[in-house]
Amino acid sequence: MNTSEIVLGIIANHTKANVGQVTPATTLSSLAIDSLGMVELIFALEDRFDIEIPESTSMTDRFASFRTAGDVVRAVDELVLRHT
Amino acid sequence: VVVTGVGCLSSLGRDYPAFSRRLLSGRCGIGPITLFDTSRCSIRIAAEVPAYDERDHFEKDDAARLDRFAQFAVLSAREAASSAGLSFRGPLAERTAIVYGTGVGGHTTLDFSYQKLYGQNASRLHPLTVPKLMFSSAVSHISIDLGIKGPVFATASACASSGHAMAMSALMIRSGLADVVVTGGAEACITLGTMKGWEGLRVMAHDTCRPFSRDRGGMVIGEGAATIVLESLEHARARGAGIHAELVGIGMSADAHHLVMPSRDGAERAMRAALADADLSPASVDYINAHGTGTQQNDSVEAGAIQRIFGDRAQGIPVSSSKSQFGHLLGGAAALEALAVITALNSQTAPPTLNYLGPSLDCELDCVPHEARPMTIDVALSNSFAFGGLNAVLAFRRHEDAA
Repeated sequence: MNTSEIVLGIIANHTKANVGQVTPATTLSSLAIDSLGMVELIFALEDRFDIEIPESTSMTDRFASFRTAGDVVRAVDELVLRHT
Repeated sequence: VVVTGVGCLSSLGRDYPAFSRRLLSGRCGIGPITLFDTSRCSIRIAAEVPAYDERDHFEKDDAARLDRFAQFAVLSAREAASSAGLSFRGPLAERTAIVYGTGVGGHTTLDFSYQKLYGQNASRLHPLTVPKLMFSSAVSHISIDLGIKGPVFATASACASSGHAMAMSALMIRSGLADVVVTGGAEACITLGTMKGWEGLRVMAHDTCRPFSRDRGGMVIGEGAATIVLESLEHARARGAGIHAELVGIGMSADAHHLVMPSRDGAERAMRAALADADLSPASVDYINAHGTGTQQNDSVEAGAIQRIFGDRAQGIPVSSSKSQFGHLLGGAAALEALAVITALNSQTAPPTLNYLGPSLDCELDCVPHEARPMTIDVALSNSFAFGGLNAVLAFRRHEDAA
């Protein structure tokens, strides 16, 4: 499984959507992820990829401003790359 | 004040009808612990909710937000509300209260997070650790789930938590503060951390729970939740609700004595207070559902308190401990035992005390050994005596409209 598939699966698990229903084009607003849901999602991504999504306003704002699931995948890719 | 809704889940089953049936058939829900690896424990038994899978009951994203005890609370509250035929989406929402007991709150969450933090040196904890472990998370989730908007709070008085919750609820109905109160209690703390803590106290049974019996070895931890719906008789009749029983008296007392040693005086005062509140004499009591933990201390002190109140009649009143069937639910115990009393009143049958090996000199009671006993029960008491000397006793009466 590549990063994209794993991230999309994690996103699905934090919503009522089934795995497979979430694609890079899926908008986060259509999944009804609220602010708490975003915090849970960030935690799950940190845990799965052993990355740190810093608790800075800019980073949280960046995640909060994501429009699609694909945006999340790209951010995780970037952080994983930086980590290795 | 009448009971118009009932719901529960425990080692005796997932709902009230299953509970009621197994209570009277003498099923024992105690067995080997499956929730965690007990290889480091000397006590390896408990009364678990069997084959519980949160995904059978909650959407996956919701399940992650509820500790096990809060899930049990919500499920039993849903059943109680539905059995009462109540929906809280209209104006009733603001006239309905929730008062709910728990002894240790979100203990599964706490245990899991400490395991990650200290055991695995995790650098971060789940973001919902705090909101899941709050004692009040169960009532908050019931409020959100059912849409209840009146006074909502949790009570904590260890093993009497839900007894105090139901007592406060009765007062809310009597005072007119609420038209309906959803009340009860929940506990789910069968974890390595809790069990090691209990082991340290040396009050736990290795084999099973044998209340009032000779050679009794102590208590057995149980888990689950129980909820009842209370309203005034007038309110219940006006909407044509079915009535399970009447909650006629509440009695509360504190021992002011010792952190873990019970006092006969405190237990006696709580029972007398419940009778006085119900305007009943000891002579009118037909059945007592005991606190009956199965420890040396509790059972002896409780039997002594019963003897002081009922005198020569003490041995003529059936006194059983349902903890021999579903273990000790701690903060949820009083609520599940209130349901045992409601079952007793409606079936006119005293539930049994299981695992009884024979009389103990310090517990001279008729504890309905082994098998349920059909009998006339009009008035019954339910006793709860907590560590720290906090006592709550409820008096229930069969209602003429009861099914």
